[in-house]
Amino acid sequence: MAEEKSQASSSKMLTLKASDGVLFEVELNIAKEMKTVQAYIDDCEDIETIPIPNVLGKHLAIVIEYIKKTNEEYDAEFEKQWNMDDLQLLLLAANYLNISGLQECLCKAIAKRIENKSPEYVRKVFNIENDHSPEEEAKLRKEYKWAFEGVDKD
Amino acid sequence: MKRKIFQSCDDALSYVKAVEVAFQYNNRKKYDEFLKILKDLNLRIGRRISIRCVKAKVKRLFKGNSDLILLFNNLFPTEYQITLPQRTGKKVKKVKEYCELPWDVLDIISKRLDFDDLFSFAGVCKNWRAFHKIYWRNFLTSQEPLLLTSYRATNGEKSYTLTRNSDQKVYCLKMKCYASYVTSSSGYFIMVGYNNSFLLINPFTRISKVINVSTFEVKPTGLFNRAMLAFGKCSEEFVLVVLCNIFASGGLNVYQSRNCGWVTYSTTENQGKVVNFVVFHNKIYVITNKANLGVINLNSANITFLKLKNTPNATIPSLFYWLLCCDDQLLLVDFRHEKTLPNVYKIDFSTMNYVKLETLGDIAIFYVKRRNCYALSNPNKWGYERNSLYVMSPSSSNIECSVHSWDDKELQKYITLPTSASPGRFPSMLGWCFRHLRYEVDYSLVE
Repeated sequence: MAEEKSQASSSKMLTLKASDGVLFEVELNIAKEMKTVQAYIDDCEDIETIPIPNVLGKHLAIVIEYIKKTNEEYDAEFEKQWNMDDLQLLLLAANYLNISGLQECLCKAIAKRIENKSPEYVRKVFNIENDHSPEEEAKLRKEYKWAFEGVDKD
Repeated sequence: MKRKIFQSCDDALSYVKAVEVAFQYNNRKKYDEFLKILKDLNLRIGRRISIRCVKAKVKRLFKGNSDLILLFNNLFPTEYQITLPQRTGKKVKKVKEYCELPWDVLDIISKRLDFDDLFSFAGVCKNWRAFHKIYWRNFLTSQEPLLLTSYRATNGEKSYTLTRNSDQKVYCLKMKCYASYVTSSSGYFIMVGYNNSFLLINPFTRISKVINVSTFEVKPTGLFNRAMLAFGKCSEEFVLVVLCNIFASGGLNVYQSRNCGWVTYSTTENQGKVVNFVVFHNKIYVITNKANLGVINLNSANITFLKLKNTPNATIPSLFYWLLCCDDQLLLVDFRHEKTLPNVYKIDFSTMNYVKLETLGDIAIFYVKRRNCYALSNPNKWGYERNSLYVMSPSSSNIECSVHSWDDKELQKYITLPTSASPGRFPSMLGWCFRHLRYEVDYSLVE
């Protein structure tokens, strides 16, 4: 739980409620970076607690931290800390909350991690099931022959 | 976690928002259907819709989006709970069962991937493949010119890249081919191999074709080869038009896939030597060094010449005439004087006249000295200037491109071409590639 001291000029505080019930009090200008939250504020002006049903508390904490701190150096270091699972969930959170800066940063990180890797690796990393039939897959491999050569070892 | 239907306004709102975000890009219709279910549900007091019906509708609507179904279960009381199919042997995550990345996210990721990775991407699963198809289709319709550069490593190995000027994004093409680049046409790179053959490679679809030549000689080191690839309208048949060495006396050679053979087209002394060609209105037009314009007849070995008035410089032939097709106009550009702006003529078919243009309007011309020439309309969209000429020296390491304008003929600017030269890799600019251009010939227009 992050608690902010109210400024004398009283920047309005908002409470965000993560899917597992964890509450975060954030300043209005921080919350506004999340365009989804901004949309709520626009729709219902006197809303005080905004539920974020798609995002776990631990990820919401990371997102809020990112918004507060963001600059280029932070970005570069930021993405190195997380494992693939967290990166994905953070990306989904950033997408739902509509924070373009964070989304770009995370996509960049993910793109870097799947660069020059085989489809099998990508599937494992994203937990995606291969729903291609063996014939379809053979066809794909043939069509995209150049791509499957010279790929990094998984 | 049980709540009455819509007792908590916030939760309902956020759920609706979650649904909207999930379907915003993929499927607006689904979102509208969902709103309709809610509306029906709201009026449930009047027994408009049964619980079972709601469950069935929601389950069907959100098939594949189990996170939304889980949320639904969270919000609605027990009688509304939708059971999800059990996934044997898989760890169930707390909030989501498995993460399905929405297409707008895949789009951002794709924009950062190189060509090879994009093709791997498509092989992951059906959903990603479907996305890749659409992404690729959009990619190929873009009119932004890509700069093709070849790099020679110290060990002699050649590699190629396509670079975008707007954000300097570099695409590496892992093509290994021992061939010499002529031009890019209809999405294919046309190259001359070392055994009297042409190699056509499409880096976007990974399709390559080899066309052998037996009736004439084609040299890969020939600096003045000209070529063009056109497809038959609505078919995979194609026509390859080549001119080997414009200085030589060889004729115009055309290969048609439907005949699997080459045909040589010759011209008379009076008509002049063919120096350039282009597809316009589904026909192949040629221009001779005496500025005579003709149409290739694909069913014979004849060229039908047109009678036009005001033929430019009829007495002084030029080897550097270029035919360009842009904005539904056929243009002739005369590059004989390298130091000054070229003369540009529009061929007016209604009056059968060459009309000298004082301005190009909303067009930019890209010229690779003595090798290639392209026209682009609405160049401002891609950061290029209208009514301008961009000139680049071919196969050189000179990364500067000069810019000339018909608006201000005195002004000369330079832009630096994007390269990713690193130590040990020597760049050689080959030219621009326009991925959206696809020439098509209509066989039925031929007599």
